[in-house]
Amino acid sequence: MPTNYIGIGLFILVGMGFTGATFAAAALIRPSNPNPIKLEPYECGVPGVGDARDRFHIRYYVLAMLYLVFDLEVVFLYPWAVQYDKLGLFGLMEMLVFVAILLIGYFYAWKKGALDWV
Amino acid sequence: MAYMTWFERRVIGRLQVRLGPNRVGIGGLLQPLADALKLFFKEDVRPARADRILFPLAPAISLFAALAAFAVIPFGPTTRIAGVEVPGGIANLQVGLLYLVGISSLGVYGLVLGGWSSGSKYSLIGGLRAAAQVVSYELILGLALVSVALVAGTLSLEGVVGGQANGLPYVILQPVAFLLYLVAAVAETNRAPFDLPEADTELVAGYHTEYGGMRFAMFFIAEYVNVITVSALAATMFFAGWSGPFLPGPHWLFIKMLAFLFLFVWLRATLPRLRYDQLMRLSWSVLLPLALINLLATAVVVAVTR
Amino acid sequence: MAVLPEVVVTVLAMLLLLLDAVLPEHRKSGLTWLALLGFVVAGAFNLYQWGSPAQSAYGGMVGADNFTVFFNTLFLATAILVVLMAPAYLRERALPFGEFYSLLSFAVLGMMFTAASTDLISLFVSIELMVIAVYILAGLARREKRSNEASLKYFLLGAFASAILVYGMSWLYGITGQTNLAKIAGVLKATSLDNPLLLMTIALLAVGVGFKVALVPFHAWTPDAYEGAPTPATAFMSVGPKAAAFAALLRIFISAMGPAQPDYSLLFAILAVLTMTLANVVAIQQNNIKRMLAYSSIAHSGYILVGLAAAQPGAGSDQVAGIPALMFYLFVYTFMTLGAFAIVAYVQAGQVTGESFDDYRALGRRAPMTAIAMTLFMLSLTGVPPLAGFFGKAYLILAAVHSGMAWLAVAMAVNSAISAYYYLRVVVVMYMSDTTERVPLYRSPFIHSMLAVASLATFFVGVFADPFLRFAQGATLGF
Repeated sequence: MPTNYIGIGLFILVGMGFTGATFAAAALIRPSNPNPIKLEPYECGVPGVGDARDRFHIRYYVLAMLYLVFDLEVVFLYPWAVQYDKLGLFGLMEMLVFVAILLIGYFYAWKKGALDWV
Repeated sequence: MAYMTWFERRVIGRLQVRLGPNRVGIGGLLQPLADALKLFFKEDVRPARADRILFPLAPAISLFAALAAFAVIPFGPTTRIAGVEVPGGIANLQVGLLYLVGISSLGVYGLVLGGWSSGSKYSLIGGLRAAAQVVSYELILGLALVSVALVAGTLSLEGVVGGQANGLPYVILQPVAFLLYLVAAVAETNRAPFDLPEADTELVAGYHTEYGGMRFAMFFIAEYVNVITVSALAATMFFAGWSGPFLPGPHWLFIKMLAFLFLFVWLRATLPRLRYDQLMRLSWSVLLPLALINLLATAVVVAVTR
Repeated sequence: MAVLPEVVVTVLAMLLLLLDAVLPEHRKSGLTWLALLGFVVAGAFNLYQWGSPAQSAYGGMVGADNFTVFFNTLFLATAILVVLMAPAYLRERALPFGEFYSLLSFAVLGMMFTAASTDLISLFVSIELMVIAVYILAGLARREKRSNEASLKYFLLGAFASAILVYGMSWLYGITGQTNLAKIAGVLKATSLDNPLLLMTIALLAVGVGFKVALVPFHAWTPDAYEGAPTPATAFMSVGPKAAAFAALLRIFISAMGPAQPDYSLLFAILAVLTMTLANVVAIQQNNIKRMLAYSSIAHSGYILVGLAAAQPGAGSDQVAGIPALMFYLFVYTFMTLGAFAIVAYVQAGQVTGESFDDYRALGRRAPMTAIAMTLFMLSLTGVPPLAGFFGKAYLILAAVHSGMAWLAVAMAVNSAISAYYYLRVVVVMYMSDTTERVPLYRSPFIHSMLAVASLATFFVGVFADPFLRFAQGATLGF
């Protein structure tokens, strides 16, 4: 039913419009008198040290990769869940194999400490 | 939406044996308006190190994703007015659930871009934490909802409500999925006790440390819209949404949502914040296996009973 | 069960991964036996399928025919030989056993599915499965700078090449509207071939696969990746993914684009000449034996490509047709190259580097049997009769002559003569120089049996070439 997407499209336009209009209105009435000290990054009263865009810990990357794997799994599960009645026992078996393969990877990651956050 | 803040402050006030805002208007009812006006007139500081394009864009992305996600929640049954089918919500998509999960996950861009573009360490850490947390709990959310979709046999939210209106609400058929959803929803919206991205005791204000005025308000509103969306989704997926006796659909949905909103506020007033490693361990080592087991058990039971 | 060998390798790969996670560190060398057993079982299932009628699986994505069996044999033999040569090297360098074997199995799985793919989509996914595992294998010695460099260079250029390859595939899909290889061939047969879009497609696909098999303008990653990777991984990289990429090349350019053969024949002939000439000339300059073998492997890609340039679709069972010659050469190349790399790993195992020609001084006295084996491999790589390398080259040259490209045959013969210089240099160093060094060579029954198998194969495939050539000819019938 593509007509349903018209509603969504309108809603999204309204959402964008609301966001834009609020920004525009605020830009018109708010004061603006910047000075260099004010524009420094926030630090609790002492001068800041270094740049914030520094290297950060690799575990975030590991986590992102794990997420990618499992999120794809979830996306594959959605159509499977909807068509489950039609797929029957075959669908169950195939999905068991699929999930089992993923679980092996998950188990490996767990054992190797990819999930430890300290 | 704006009254969510009033609601939260009043309820927390009561829970902490104080009054909460009560001066502006009767019972403080005009407080949100006063806050909004104040934020309108605030100077909008853009730090020197901030990214010129992404810094203003991030809060807009956040709010936009939050608003767009709400579009598929059905408020009532599909009715026919003058021969035209009028959906009981803004839109009734065949893939409503997928749409909702997809759009709401766009919100994390707002958080992580906001955190990164500010050029402040607190913001960066807040943004990273937000990304890692939202991403981890999104899996749980997705898996919990898949179990429900498996029982319902459809991704259309109309269909899910319809399935419950004629039978048991899915909270009874899927209690584990409901609990998983609840935990994941609180974490997804960065609410206490999972509010680590903005943990004020360690990160000042997390990813929105550098934001002020209306831009801050965008993040703020986005968070509340998200809370409302996940509450509405919880009511829809697990408590039969708009369907109920006597009252018309939207009223029922509103009542159920309100119960969830109260729960959110209650949690915030009651529970202390988790430590970050506890948060991640809960998601990856406890909830994820639980969600998978629940899903597989559901699949087996569905296969046997149908 | 058309995909039984693949299933066995899948289970093996995951079992290795699981055991690596749970076994205590000192028990992990036992995984060698498990890996061997798995590959041998898969090989048995695979050979059992020889001659059975072609089957397909996964909705026409994957096929099982003699072509598949031939390449699976090649891949599983490679895997077994690599597993045999690895333990000594891995133990000396304290590299992880479980990950090495597991990644090896995943790469072999990707290779097997690459050869078995009958659809562009499964072909691309299989190639990716193979190369991603190999990227990691190249960087397995993660405390070593060179290994990291090898892995990163291989990854970046490989990812780039994959993008070009999949872009070429999308053009092919755009022209024909099909992803199934046989159906693509059907559409191409029915339409006019003087289509400029088709030339663009051929160019993109040739570049994409050219990267994977290290043809000359796209070979830049090879020496660094081969030098830096742990030697057993290098041995594997120089044989396995290369053979699989040639299988993909055959699947794409013969199965699917066979009707367009007149369009690309000359292109591949020119690439072949460029590749072998440049690689052989540069190889002369090398003092590091791994780099020398890397350039040698590039040169051999050039030789093998002659088979594709000289291919005449429809003439599959002809004695000197290009495709059987190509496949026979791949078979020969596998054993002699793995043997040469095994000796490098063997000489290296007890030392810090052990990669320069000087490390081979007086090897003829220090380890006579090893030196004889190395001599055998070097002579075979040169193409000296009656060894396997000679017959491989002879068939390719014959195929080139028969398809009317005599100049290609001449270029190949001249290049073999050039290559003799650096191959024989190793032999000269081993027998005609002296050393005071007394580094004992590492002893391992695995590597000794591996060397024995490789040398025997190099010798006997040459002396009794006929059954192996018929094996290769039988495998092309699928086309």
